Amino acid sequence: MHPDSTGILPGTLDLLILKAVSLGQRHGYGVLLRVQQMTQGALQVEQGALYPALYRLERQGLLDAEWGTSENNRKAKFYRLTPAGRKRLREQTDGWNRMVGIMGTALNTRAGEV
Amino acid sequence: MRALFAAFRALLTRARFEREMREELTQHVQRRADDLVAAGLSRPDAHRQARIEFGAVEAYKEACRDASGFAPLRVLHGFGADLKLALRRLVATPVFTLFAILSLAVGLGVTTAAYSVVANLFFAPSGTADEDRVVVLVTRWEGNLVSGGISRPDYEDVRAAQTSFSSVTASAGLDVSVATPTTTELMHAEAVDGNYFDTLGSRPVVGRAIDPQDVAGRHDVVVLSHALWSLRFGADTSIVGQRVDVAGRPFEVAGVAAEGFYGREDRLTATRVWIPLTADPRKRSSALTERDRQRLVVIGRLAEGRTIEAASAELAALGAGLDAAYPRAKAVGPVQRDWAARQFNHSDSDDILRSFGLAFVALVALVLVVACTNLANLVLARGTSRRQELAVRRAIGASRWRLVREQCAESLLLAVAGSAAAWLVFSGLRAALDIDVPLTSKMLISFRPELDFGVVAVAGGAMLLSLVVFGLEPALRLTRNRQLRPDLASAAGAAGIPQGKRQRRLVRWQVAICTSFFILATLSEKYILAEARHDSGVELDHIALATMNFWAQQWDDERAARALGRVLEELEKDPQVQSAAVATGVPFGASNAPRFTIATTDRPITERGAAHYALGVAATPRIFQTLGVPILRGRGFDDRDAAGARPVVVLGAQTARRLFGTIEAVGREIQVKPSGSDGLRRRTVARKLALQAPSAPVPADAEVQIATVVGVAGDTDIGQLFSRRGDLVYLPLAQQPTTVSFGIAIVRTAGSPYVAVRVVRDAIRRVDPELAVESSGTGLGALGGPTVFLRTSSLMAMVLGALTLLLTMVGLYGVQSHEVAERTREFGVRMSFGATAQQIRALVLKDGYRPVLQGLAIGLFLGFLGRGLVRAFWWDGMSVADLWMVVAVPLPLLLAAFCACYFPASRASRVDPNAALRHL
Repeated sequence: MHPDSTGILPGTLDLLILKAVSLGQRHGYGVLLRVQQMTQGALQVEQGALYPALYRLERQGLLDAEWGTSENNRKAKFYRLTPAGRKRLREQTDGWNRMVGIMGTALNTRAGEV
Repeated sequence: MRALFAAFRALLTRARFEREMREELTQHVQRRADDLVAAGLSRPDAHRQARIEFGAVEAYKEACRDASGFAPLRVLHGFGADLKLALRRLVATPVFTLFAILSLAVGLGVTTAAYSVVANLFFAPSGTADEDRVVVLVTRWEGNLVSGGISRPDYEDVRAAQTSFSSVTASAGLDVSVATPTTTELMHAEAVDGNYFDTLGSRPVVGRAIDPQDVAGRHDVVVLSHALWSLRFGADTSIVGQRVDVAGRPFEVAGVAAEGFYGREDRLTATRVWIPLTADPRKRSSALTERDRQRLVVIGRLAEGRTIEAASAELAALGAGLDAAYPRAKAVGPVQRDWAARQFNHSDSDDILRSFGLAFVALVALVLVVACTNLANLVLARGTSRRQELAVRRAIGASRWRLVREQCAESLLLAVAGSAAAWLVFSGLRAALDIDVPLTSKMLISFRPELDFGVVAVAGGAMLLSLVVFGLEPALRLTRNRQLRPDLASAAGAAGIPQGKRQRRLVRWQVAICTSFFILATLSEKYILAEARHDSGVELDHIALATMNFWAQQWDDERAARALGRVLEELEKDPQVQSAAVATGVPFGASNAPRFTIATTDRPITERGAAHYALGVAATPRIFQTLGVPILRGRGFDDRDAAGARPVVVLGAQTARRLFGTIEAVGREIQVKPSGSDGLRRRTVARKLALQAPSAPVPADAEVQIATVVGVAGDTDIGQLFSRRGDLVYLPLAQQPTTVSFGIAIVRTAGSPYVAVRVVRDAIRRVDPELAVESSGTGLGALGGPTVFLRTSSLMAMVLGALTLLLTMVGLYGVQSHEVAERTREFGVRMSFGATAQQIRALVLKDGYRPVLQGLAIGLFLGFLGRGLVRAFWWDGMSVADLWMVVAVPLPLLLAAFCACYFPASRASRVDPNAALRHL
């Protein structure tokens, strides 16, 4: 099994992560919890799959990471959004919404409407 | 460099990345476990659950590496594991590993050490800039080209008239005493013109060179050679301006010549000091005009665009012009100025040395070839034995890269271990070879192996190439495609014709090389055998001696005799000295002993057939005890034989027989007359290498003396070690009829002769600090001369031969063992059809012997060819082939081959047919 096969739409995980991080800087586990909260547990991925995505986003310059101390005094790597990441999130959210709109309209079309 | 730095940084970054990633993922699992514990799970269960939820951690790590751009390094990821595996495999086969490392150590260590010795001896640069453009003026004389023999006015005329050279200079060679802080030694010097250093293009490292003002102003200044400066003056840079006595006269040190610059002579007679031409301390004989005083060597640097041929033609014309203007009536050398130009530094002795060196380098290269083929053989055998494993692994999905990489790891480990072993070998050899081998009494060959990186690169490259090429070849060939080849996978396949053909071909050539080494090593077999049972007549073991050249120092007879007497007094005072003597020569080894004509009194000494030429040793009474020469009949010398007393002589036994036959010689009278110089001239390698020492002049008015034979002494070698040709007469030093031009002080000691050498030198220095020691050494060292050199070279050939033999046999053993393992099933089949153990053994032995016999044939041919070449170029007295060589040389090889083949063969004969056939 390839680690990327998360069972969700391609690109969706990246967008969700960006969204989760945009709500405040998080460490990896925090991002996972936030994503699960945001999707109300509907999105089930293997937890490990999160990390390749985080690393990819970091490498693309959308996320910034630094080591700090977590709430229970553990060392942790915290991710936050870079300006580029913020821009990307905005664009992708717009794109997503447009796509949802288009797809919604398209899929709700009835026989007589065309 | 920058790439290297980047790679290094990437490595560091990567290590940090790995650490942080591990930490982050661990933290994740722990946080999840914490949450699960909070939710009510037990700690172990929580951990387990957390890990399950996380998924395949290694796969995610790999994905993270990919995502972070560390993917290219994955090529190397796991190389550590490869190394570990390779190490384990090497340890599991200690014999192979040991032999491979041994091959590498010998191939690299021995060849680099041997080559660096040779390079240091024969091919070091002369220190002359653009040597190709420097020529020396030579005279054609009796079929030879003679350099030197140019008079000062001739030189000045040539310099003024010539157009071929940008600069012309002159140098006169001389031996002078130089007083160093510890000893006074006779050294080779050059008296040079002011532009000498400029013409040769050598710049001094300290101070300045001799310049035209020094020559014009007759300044007593001296330039020291680098070797002299570092050996005797402790490389002291404040030496410039200090006083050094040259020929008993104070000279001011002007500078130190560049390292490696040895002047116009060859590198064995390297010049040690340079003085201005006009400061030559030697007295001039007034009998000669300036034109007839021929002692200069003229050297020129070709002008831009001029060729050596054009320069030759111009010099010939100038010479002819001078002949017409100043004809020479009679000269010591050539009468006609038949001049030409010859390449500088191409003297005969240099050429011989160079060809000798080249021959040695070729031999060393052969050892390298043997070591390489051996290594190739070993890894090839190992590779083929892994065929099945590789084929199966390839078939079940191992990538080609993976398999090749494993092989690389193994080669890398072997190369590293081999280099370490080679370094040990080289260090050992460097310590062992740090010696001086005397060539003649005045010349030493100094072995100082220096690590030469070019050679290390060549040898290392060759070894690595054979390691990688032959190591990888089977792996590459087998993994070309993925399908499982039936001939490899099936057990029966291996029973076919084995792969050993190529390996046997390698063995054949190894044996050939090895054989030719042994044949060449037999070159000096006569000397080695002779030396083992030869009695030189002199007990060389416990004597030390030092020679003094009064003639070169221009000391008169009286002063020389007085000095010799006082040296003897000093020596006899020393408690370490058992007995001591001073003499004008010794029976052999030192070439300057005077020669005499002797005859019985019944016929005139001038009559043909009556006169015998004999070496004359004029010595103090204890010479016989000191040299260990027995007095067979009569007596030795004693105090009765004083200057004014009746002249007496002691004859060598052989000489006594020659003069008087069976009649008792003691009590009879003979005629003695000083005669000319060296009559023993033979063309040998040794003699060609040795430059002739100047012989003392004989006074023309020497008188015939009638002397009584008082004793007959035991025979000794005469002239040189191992030579009994010639006659010998001992005279009391006090009655010595010729000038004392040459002195030798000899002591016999109970202790170390090396310590005694210092005793002799110190005594001479105490007597007169101006008295120079020409040469000194232990008995064998100083008198053994060329023999030591021959023995050393022959020993080297033997050692190289033995090394190649060892390597070859190791290789043969490896190949045979491997073959037997490969053919186990075949033997099983044969045995099940009724072959006996003997037949199987014979089969294996035959297979093993075939390449050895072929190699022997080739090797004998090559060896005799080599001896033929040696005979043609260096040594016309030897025979090319002797019957005993054809018998004796192959014997050790055949024996060793038997050992190498026997064990695998007997293993083959013990194959259990049932066990072998079970896998069919």
